[in-house]
Amino acid sequence: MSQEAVLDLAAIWLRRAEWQPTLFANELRRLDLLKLEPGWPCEPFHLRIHRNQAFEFVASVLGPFLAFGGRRAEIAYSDYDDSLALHVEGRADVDLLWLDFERYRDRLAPRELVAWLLERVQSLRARSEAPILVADCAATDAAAQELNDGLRNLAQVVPGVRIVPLSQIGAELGARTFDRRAARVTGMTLSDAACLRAARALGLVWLPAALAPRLKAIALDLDNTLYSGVLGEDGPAGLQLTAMHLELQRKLLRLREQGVFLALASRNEKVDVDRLFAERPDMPLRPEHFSATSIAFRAKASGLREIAAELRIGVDALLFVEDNPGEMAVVATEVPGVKMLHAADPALTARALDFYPGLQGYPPGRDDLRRVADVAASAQREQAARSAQSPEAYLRSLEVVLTFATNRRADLERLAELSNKTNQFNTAFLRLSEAQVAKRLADPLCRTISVSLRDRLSDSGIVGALFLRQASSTLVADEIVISCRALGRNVEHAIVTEALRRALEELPASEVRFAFREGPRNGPARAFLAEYAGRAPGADGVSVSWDPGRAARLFERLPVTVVHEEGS
Amino acid sequence: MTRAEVEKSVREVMQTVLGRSLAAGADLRRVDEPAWDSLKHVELIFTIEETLGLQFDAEELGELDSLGKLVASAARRLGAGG
Repeated sequence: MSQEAVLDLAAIWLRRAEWQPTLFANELRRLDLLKLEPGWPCEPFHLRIHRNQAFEFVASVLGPFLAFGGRRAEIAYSDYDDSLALHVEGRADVDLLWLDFERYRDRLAPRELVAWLLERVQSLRARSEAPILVADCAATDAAAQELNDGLRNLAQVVPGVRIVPLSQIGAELGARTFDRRAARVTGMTLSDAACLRAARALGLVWLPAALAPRLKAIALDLDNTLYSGVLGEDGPAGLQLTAMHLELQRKLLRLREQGVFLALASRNEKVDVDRLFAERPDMPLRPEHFSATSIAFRAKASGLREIAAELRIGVDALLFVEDNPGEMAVVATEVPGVKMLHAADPALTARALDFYPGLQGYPPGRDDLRRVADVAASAQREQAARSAQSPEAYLRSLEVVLTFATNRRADLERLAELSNKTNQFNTAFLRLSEAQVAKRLADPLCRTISVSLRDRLSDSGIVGALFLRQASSTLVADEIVISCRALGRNVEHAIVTEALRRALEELPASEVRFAFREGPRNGPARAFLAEYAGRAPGADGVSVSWDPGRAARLFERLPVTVVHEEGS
Repeated sequence: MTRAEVEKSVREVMQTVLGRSLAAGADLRRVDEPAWDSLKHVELIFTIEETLGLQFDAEELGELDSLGKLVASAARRLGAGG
């Protein structure tokens, strides 16, 4: 990397840190936002707005929020259209329904309005595979609540639909939510304050969540970040834990409950940090909450790389929270890709956790908590692997159970998540949206198999997915993804072979072709395919003649229990 | 706040919202500025209100169609003299 590029990276992150007080302010100010111009490259995406009211007051301040996460929107608008004809030309990476529901109030009861909207959203789903965001009703009266309940149900029914809760903004602003003065000129009833908050919610939370998977871990500095003071100088008793520090720590715990790993990256002596936790029981964060730690007097860049390696995640899935801009500048240049949050003061940092791109706006997953517990068990697994006499003995000691389910609709969100988040064991990088997965689940020529893994140490939940398709006498594995949490237990062959065997029962074929696309970190997938097929995959992937006895022979020597689950 | 300070603030808002520079002392009329459409008009009003901490009456929104009128109305509401 050139010296110039290195300086740029540091400057970019420090500029972002300067933006934080404006973006995460309790009271947003339009003039301050309009003055923010990103000096860094932003990735464009296509946002299509289906609306019956102005979105421009939101759009004019959406830019800085999106730019903070490295994006910019190219927006295409529908006409003001109460009938929601969905006539907007051009492609969409995200579709947004932006409706003033007041306009329907005299004509349709909430239930009727939801039924009509369901039909419209299904129509949009049929023609667009992009995530669909539906902004709910910002009012908080009983009719609006009934409508918003109905919208949440709608999002459960149609794949890839998320509700943007303007109702939350309405609850926060109360009487300040609406401003009827502008309606005479523009037909828009939301107040400026509501528009600014909507821009923040969309630009920092909902659009990033629609476009990219969640960040996987937060690495935290200690001194002047989780408390006020310097541990090595003030000692545990001299550190200040204010109400906002407590709030910050509790928010971090809530994120951990949602499956985000917490890690410590601290320039302190280990013995001092041990004393901190022992002598300050008022700290909500406890040592057991950290899935990885780097505590030493050395550059944090190497500590962050070790944390990412220990958690088996890319550094680009890591958020580093730090009060020292100098430390941030070094990390920006030495660990490119890592995300950063400047912990200037605890109140702002706590609020930033509600909005930081890639942290919020994701549906709760069944496997969220399992992920954290699973990593905690991995140290025990590594110990078992070291002391076992053979790979088979190791597997036997773990008592591994693999559970296979075919075309199970309940797994849809997790299947899309795996396709989008998995980087190492990913054969094709299709990055399937929920809508695309739903299409495959409904296609009689496709089989999508989800694979769950548990052993005596932990239940990992769904760790693998095979997206299969019959094409004449060939079964095509369009994509195989296995979470890195499952790697290292030597179950990849069992997962793939049993899933193929099961699919071939319903979609007979003499040959299996594995599609393959080279990615930045999918060496494990390439190596597996080369071993499985006996030769390295090329641009067209790699094929094998299917041997019906392969599964039986494999499981004769592999001490793994296989379970098949039915269900929708 | 003096009238000159009010004018300075309104000018800054107009330049930022309309994305153009304004010559010192010159007025700007809505009819002469293509970017000043009805949506930008409301955004200007909102931003001036936020910046100066005041609120215009609904009835006068349509009449505030020049920099001079905006400054005059804002100064009157703030009791700005000089």
